[in-house]
Amino acid sequence: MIKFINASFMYEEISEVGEKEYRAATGIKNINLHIKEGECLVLCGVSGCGKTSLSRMINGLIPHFYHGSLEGEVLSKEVNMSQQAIAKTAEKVGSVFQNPRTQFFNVDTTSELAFGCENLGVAVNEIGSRIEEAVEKLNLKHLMDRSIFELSGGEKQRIACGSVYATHPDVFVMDEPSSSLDKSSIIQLKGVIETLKKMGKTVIIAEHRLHYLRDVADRFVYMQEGEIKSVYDREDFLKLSLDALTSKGLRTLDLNSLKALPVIHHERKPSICIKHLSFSRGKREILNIESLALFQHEIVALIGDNGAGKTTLAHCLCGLEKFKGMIEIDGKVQKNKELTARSFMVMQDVNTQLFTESVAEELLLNIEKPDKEKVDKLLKALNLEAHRERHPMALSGGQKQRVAIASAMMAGKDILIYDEPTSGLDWDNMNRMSELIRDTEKNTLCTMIITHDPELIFKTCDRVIHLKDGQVFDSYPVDAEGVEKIKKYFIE
Amino acid sequence: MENFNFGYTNSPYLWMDPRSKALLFLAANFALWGGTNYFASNLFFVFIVLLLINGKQTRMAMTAFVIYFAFLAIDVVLISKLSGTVSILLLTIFRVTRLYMPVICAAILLIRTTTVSEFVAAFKRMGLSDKIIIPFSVMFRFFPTLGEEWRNIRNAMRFRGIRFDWQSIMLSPIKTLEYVIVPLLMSTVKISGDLSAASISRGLGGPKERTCFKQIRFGILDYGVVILSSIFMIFTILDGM
Amino acid sequence: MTSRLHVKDLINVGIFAAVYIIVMMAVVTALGMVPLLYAIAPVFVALICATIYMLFVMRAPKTGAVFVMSVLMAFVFMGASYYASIWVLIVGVVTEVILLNGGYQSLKRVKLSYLIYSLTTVGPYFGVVLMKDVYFAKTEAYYGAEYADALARFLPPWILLPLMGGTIVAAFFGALLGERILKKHFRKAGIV
Repeated sequence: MIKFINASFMYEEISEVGEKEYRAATGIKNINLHIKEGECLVLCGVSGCGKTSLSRMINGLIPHFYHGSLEGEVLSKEVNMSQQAIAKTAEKVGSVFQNPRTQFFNVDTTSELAFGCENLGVAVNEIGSRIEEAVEKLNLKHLMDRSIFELSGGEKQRIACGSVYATHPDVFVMDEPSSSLDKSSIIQLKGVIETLKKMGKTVIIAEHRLHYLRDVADRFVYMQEGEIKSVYDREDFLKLSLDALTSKGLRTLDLNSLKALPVIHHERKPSICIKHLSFSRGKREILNIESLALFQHEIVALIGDNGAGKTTLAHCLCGLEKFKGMIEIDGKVQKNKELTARSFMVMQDVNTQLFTESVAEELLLNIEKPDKEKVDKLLKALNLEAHRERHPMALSGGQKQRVAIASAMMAGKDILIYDEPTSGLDWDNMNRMSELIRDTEKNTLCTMIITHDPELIFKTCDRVIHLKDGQVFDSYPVDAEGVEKIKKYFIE
Repeated sequence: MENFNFGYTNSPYLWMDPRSKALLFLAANFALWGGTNYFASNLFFVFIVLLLINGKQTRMAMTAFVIYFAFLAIDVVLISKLSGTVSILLLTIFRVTRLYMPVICAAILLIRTTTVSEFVAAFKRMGLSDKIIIPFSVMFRFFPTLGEEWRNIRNAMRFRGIRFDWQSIMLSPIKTLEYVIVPLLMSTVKISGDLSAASISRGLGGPKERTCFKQIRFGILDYGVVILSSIFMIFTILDGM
Repeated sequence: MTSRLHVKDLINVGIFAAVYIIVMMAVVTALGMVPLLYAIAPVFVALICATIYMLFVMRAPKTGAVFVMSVLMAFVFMGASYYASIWVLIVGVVTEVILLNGGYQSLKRVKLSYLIYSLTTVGPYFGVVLMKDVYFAKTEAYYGAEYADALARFLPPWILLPLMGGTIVAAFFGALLGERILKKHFRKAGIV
């Protein structure tokens, strides 16, 4: 169906002086691969291994949108993709992207479902029946005629799949479709992929999270530094041990096999006390917590479904919301402004968190007594030394995240909150992030991680706080019993 | 930002075509010109208010109605009793506000009660180019996203101790502007790239003529609006002569 | 690279128009608290929106991009008066003329073009002043000359000239600032 013959690609980049250049380090090389009709193929490997680039060569974004130097051929049913107009490719290949927030063109779901067909010039009556078909096959009835902005991440990804489905492509290309989804949304996504496969569609997924694909994928392609290292059939891939996977930098295939690190028993000295905390938006009560204590030097995982109040709790802790009740640190009631001054929240999307023109400047921003030594130490610890003078926005996503963390360390913040720090990360980077969180924990009073990533919890956290409908549903240490509870929550 | 949460859902009692709303808007502008015939323009204003209620903009309709007639009453009662520059200026404010009410109401009817896909369908029918229609849809789609980005930036500024208030704007305007505009534009550029990639890979910009799934058709109400608006415009022109 | 507007450029137009309009409205609303400042809002908008305009032109360097953006602004300005919309369209055409033949590639010409494009925000004021003439010429007969005089003093048509002059001066400084921000951040980050 799709054949890669000695395909290589390098991205064109703009240098700091505004000139075009090709970087050998980015892109892919010497790809030979034959994708069969009706198969479900998973592309895996660490960040920057080239799996996203490979998927872009299938949907034609390379070389028609991302420019660069292309060698070799990609053939789809004997047609050379690089010579075919991308609009033509769109009739045969449908694409679903990583970020549900930025891939929608319309503001209501029905228009979004019709969008692909409209672009291809499908007749109006025909679009109607195709939308009906997509709604039925992918079970989207309750999502029709809604505003895109009120959907959850999982619902958005289902609409994205439905919109692509309505154009009747033979091939579906998905680029990290699960990276901003919670556990129930991932289950929905898995259902969609199963449906597509049953209909005989070819599905190609570039992905970090592998556990939800273990039952649907036919083959796994493992990539490293832009090259295909090995191709596994499903049975062989599932036989790989956890150690074999982690040595390749891959995430687990089976959440059940995960083990937690032994719990470090801190002195149980409560440092942050939340009392009678409640918060409402309009008439709806979003958060209602009678009492909750966070202990000194503790790393807490905050889990719960979408809408359980995780982000709101984090915002209250940081003093960003006007809540009722009180938050005490070391016995002293804190005003909102004091809370904000003592806290920092590392967002999933760091693009809005960086303000200055170089990494070093970023660390020194609003620091009253600049301590050059501390800057050097932090940059070294966070592996940012080489990028000291570069613009933060020229760095990769993970590096940007580390710059933001470094700025919080520099400012000596007491409360550090991470919002989904590892959802789009491979095992290597997740591991590094986990170590980083553990290291920085020594310098803060308390660390809280909002996460849907059980691997991160097992590696990093001392305790889990489980929110449900705005209340603390459960709170337990990550010990043998806790591990079972976490697995129960994430697997069912 | 809340003002920009329109154009996404629409459930009037009786559906109205965006084209007849546009004509109504044009006619309301005529009222500004003519405007000397109280009776006709008052009647026309009431008509617009009724259409607003039909579009479930009841609160806006009521507010406009009260302001309009209260100001009219002030005008009628006080005009003969007042003299002197100050009171006349005061009167002017009442009068100009009142005269603008039909235009504002018609604009709200047009913008608030029309979904983006209805606009696109209407533009398509009017033969507008995709070069206008595509940016138009994107602009409306981006307003709420911009609100989200702005909230994120504000939060990040608070954490980093970057002030954004009158004092900081007065004391260090350039620095403050830089801290606001740089992250805002950085994320704008990023989102623009993602959205372009997603749209192109879904066939936008292909050689085939785009179709439009949303179909719009004139209903009973639309014929009524067209007839009344036309009569009003002709009447205003004749009255002016 | 073709010189025709492609999907990527059209999406840039839509997105940057949204940013431009929102920032403009935010500035006008903030100034609205002080009546005197409100009257010279275009001056502040010209200063602040320069960076947005310049980045936009450099990210969508195709003839027609600025005009399409002015069409979108004209649509939004319809809420003020249709004079404002027509004014914005005229400004858009003139800006395109300045950018014709390679202007989109030259930072100097981009800066120059902004001196004109910044005048879009004067549009609504244009409406108010013109409207006054058209409407109140008629009402003089009804309300008397004293009334019309008071109005003429309140809003003389020549007030637009210093407003436009001030806006252009502010646009000049805005463009200098924009150039600095573009070089310091966006060039360094590899974006333009």
